[in-house]
Amino acid sequence: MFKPLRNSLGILALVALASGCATREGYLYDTKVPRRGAVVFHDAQSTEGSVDALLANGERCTGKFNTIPDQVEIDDETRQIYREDSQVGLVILKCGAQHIVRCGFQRDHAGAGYGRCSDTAGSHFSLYF
Amino acid sequence: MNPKLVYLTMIGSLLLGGCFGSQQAQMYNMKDGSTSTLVVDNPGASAGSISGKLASGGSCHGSFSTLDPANAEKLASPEMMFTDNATASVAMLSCESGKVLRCTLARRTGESFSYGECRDQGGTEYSMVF
Repeated sequence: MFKPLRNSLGILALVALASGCATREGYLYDTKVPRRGAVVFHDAQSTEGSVDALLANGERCTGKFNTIPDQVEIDDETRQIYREDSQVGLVILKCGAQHIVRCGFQRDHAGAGYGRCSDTAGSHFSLYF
Repeated sequence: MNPKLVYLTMIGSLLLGGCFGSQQAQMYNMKDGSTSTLVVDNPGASAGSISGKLASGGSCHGSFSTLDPANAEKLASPEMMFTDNATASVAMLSCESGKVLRCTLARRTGESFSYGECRDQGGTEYSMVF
C-alpha cells in the first residue's frame, strides 16, 4: 500500500535535493483510515520555507511554513536569544480546488517534529517529520 | 563616515527589519478554501493598523495590539501555537460585508509576523502564513 507513496516521496526528495535546499521528509497520517501521505519541507533548516505534499488520495499540494521560537537559550548578559532549541510553527498547503490543509507543528533543533492538521473537508491528519 | 550614508543605512535596516512598511499574507477560508488578503502596517511595532480584502470583494479595516501568549492561545484553534519566547498579537477587523474578524498572530519578538488565524462571528476560520 505504501510502496507508491515511498516512490513519490523519493521523487519529491530528489527534486528538492537537485534544487540544492536542505530538506526534511515526513508523513501525513489520516486519523480515520490507515493511510498516509508524504510531505517534504524545503529550506528545512530555515525559520520559514516552502512545503510540498502528496496526500494519501493522490492530491498534490504546495504551500509554505513559518515558525516562532519555543524552547530557547538566552545570553545572560544581553538577554538575547542565541539558540532556538525548539520551534513551533504553522504550515498551509494549497491542494486541489478550494482544498486547504493547515498544520500546527513543533520541531526540535535537528528539524524533527510532529503536528496536527485539519482541512477544508473536515478531515484531520497527524504530521510526523 | 559620511553622516548621510549612516542615516540611509539606518533607515534601510529599519525597513528590512520590519519596523516600517507593510507585510502581506494570503488568508485561506478553512470552510470553503477561498483566498483573501491581509495587510499589516508597521509589522515590527507592538500595535498598528491592519486591513484586508475578503474573497467576496469587501474591504476590512482594523487594528492589532500585543497580548500575553497564554491569552492568545485561548482565542485560537489547536493548530495555532504560541510560546512565551515569541510575541503574540490580537487584531479586530470590521468588514464592509458586515463580517467582524478577530485574529491572533504570532511573530518573533521585534520582527514581522510569522503566521496567524482569524475567526468571524459565524465561527469560520481563516489561516495564514506570512
